[in-house]
Amino acid sequence: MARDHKRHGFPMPRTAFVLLLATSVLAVLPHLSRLPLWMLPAFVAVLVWRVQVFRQRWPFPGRAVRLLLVVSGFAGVILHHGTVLGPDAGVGLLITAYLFKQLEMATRRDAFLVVILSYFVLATEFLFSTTLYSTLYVLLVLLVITATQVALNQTDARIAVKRPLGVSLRLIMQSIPLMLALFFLFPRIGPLWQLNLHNKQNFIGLSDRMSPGDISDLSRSPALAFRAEFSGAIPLNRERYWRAAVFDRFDGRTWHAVADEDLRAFEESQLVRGERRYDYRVILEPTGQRWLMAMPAAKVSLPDARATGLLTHLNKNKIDTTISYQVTSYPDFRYQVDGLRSWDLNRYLQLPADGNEQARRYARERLAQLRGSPQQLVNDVMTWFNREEFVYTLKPPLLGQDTIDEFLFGTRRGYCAHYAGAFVFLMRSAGIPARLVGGYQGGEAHPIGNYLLVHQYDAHAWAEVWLAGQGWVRVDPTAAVAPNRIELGSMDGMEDESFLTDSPLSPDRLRNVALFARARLLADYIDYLWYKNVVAYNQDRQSELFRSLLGEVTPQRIAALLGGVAGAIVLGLIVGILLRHPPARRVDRVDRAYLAFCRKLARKGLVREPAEGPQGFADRICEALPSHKAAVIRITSLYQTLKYAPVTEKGNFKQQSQDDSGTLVHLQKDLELAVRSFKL
Amino acid sequence: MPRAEPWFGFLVNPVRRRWAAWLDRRIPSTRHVVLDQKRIFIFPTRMGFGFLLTAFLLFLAGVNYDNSLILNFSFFLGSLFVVTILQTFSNLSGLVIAAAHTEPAFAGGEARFNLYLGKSRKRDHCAVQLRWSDFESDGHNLLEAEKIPAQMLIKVNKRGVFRPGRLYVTSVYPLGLVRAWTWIALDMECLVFPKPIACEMSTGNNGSTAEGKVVVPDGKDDFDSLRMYQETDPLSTVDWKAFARTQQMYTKRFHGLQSDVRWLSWDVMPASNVELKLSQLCYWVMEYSRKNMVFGLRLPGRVLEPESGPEHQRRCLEALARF
Repeated sequence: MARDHKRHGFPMPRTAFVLLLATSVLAVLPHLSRLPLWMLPAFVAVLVWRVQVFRQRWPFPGRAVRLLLVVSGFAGVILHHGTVLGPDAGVGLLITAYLFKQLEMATRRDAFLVVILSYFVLATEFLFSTTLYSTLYVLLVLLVITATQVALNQTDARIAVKRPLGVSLRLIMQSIPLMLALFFLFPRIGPLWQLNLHNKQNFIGLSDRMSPGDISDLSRSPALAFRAEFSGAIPLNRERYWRAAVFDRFDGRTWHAVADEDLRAFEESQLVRGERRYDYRVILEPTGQRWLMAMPAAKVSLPDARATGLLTHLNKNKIDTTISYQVTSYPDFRYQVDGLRSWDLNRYLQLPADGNEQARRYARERLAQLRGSPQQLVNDVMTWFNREEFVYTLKPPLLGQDTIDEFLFGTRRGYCAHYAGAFVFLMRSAGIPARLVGGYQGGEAHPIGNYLLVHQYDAHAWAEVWLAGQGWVRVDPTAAVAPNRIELGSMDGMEDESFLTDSPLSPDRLRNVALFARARLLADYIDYLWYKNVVAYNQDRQSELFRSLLGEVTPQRIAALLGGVAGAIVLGLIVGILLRHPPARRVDRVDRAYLAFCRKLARKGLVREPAEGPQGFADRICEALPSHKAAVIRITSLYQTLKYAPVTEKGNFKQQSQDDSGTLVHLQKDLELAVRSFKL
Repeated sequence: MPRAEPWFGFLVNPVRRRWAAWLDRRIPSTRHVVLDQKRIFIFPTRMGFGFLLTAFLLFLAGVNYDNSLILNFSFFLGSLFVVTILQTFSNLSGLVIAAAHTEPAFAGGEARFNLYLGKSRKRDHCAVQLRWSDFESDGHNLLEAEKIPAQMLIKVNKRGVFRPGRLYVTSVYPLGLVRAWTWIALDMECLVFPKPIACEMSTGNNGSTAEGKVVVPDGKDDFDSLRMYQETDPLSTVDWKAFARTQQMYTKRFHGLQSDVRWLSWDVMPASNVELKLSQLCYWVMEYSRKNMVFGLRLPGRVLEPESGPEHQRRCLEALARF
């Protein structure tokens, strides 16, 4: 017997096996795209083997084979990822173990271990995706895993899959209230030790270098960059400059972001803030970078955030999961009015040693004509962009060696990065400190929620010049070329059809179709609410909740709140599960017939007492209606036999005489007939 | 099994259901037990501890990766565990265990204890396992049925009246994470006859006393007398001639004659040991009954007059068992 278990496993009920198989497939499915390619055929092979074992066609693989499989599986995963660290490799190893455990299910305990591993595999899905849809999927799989566990504990092999699924659904529904209470009220603590996710995913978004073509690539992506949820009025489109990074070094082709070692800390004394302010919360999608988007001049409240002297903010680690932070922005501000330090001056006047001579000459000549006024030169260049045949397009022609010269005096077709880059180049050539700023401009106001959706196609580049007496001033050459881009947003500002060309089916292309627009915005709103209230629910948000519920927050009060709510839920469960009067089952034919008999008597005033058994009732009736004694006794005894007489294995009634003549169906018919013919 | 205090023992179940009350009148209350909160114990199984460890590890992962949803996953597992405690408890709670009848056995054999499992509320009971003495039954399921029979085959080794200890009723349904159990005392006993052991009897008078022929009442051999007809008498024994004469129904009575009346006697058994003697007597009781012979049994302090038939055999065996 024991040896047979080694070969084919313990006799698992068919229902349990089917559910266990479904569990395995459903738990691994969402991970497949992140796993090494060989995992899919291996997975299929293991499942086929498992089915054959269940059908007693093949035995379980031997110990040596299993060892070989596991070792080569682990080696394959480690080779694929090049590491054992990080979620990708970790989940890979977990799934390998999970996979081969399927081939070793000799005992009920092994089956249980597979169920436990399923929970792990399923939970790791949240390391990669935290959307509402992933969560709903996880919930569905939980239903199947729990049903598997129920099926493994059933002893009746004939029970169909429906029943464990039903039991599982009930268990899950009953668990959810307590889970929610724990989720919102269980005191959140910070990480116990530092973990880095080392996600190797490719993020779309800005990078730390900018060539003329880069942003036009981004503008083809309809992916969400971030959301900004305002607590008051939403700023106008022309004010929505979301600053991410500052680019200072130009090598003749590409602009480079200010290097980390050159970043200075923000000094409060150099900033003069105006009265106006915007308060909002940014929910930033993963970028793989450390920049935190905000409108200048901003105060970002996030423990890991650092304000820099460039009026940008950097997170301590690369952002590879969605994060959110509170921001206060002061749109009317002056920065570094008192002058630039010499090292800053050098940096913002840097130009390559040679190249683009025509542009340099042009800038110097114009400045001389304008009697050396930097402000005049800025206006002059902007007017030039506006008057001449400059075209704003996402499909600029390729540029050769001297990119600025070719662009300014040749093609004159370009995107924001072309104009901003050329502008900074001209300013620096004229000896005016200038720098390129990258980030996002605009955003789509959501009609339901008071928030802005900023997409990757809102990526933007603009310029900043330093003017004596004014400090840093933002200049957006794109506004001169395509004013609509800044006034109305990237979507409406586009004049040709180059926009979103890579996503022909993108819902954004269908924005003008009202129904699609509404569905798209509604889906985003649900996603937004989900993120805001569930995924981003952290220590801070919990403290807010505690403050609003408790007033003064003390550990005792938190304990009392959690204890009170959880206690009430558990008490509710106790009442619901243990003391509940179960819902009336469909009254069976026997009861129905007997109740009809009782109703007939009740019409004559002979009502059965609640605590009165059929026998006692019958005795009372016989006394009251001696003429009907025979019928009453017959009906009562038939009822008693049907309900309470010992039943044989075959479902027949053992009569007192020990013969098996009275079958259920016969007696039932007798009873029904007797009741029908019972007349008072 | 660890004994734990039932953790919601304070919740008494005040409502005794109609069905239970009715059953109470039918079966004396010591013969049936309704499992309620006060009787049921509960403790996590090994799998339950494994499950809690899983929840804890996921909690750590959720905290360290600062991932709300993984954290919530661990809260879900914790909540599921709490619900499972209640569900496992409720699976046993309200279960009725009623004693039916027992079937005697010879020592060294298996005695049959017939039970009924029933519902006191309309709640289902799944995968209920019973262990009594050394016998373990498979899971019993009360789903559609209001009551089901359960048969326990218990090994009996000692002659006499056998009372198994407490009946262990347990279930881990639905998730196998916690075990609910109880021990109940059912008022059930069964007779254990001595194990028949073959032996030779001293052949002197073949174990019988020399009383010669014996008159067996209600035999069929010789006419004995007439008496007034009683309703239960078979019509074939009615004296129809007398009826014709007197218009009265008489029943003819006969007696049987038995030449070889045998006595099984305590003293003639070869063994010196009491139990062995009883076993040998048991062997001969079985042997004579098999041959349908008339025999009497003489035990110290008790004499069973010679008779034959299964009823007599039973009486003899019972006398041996209770000796």
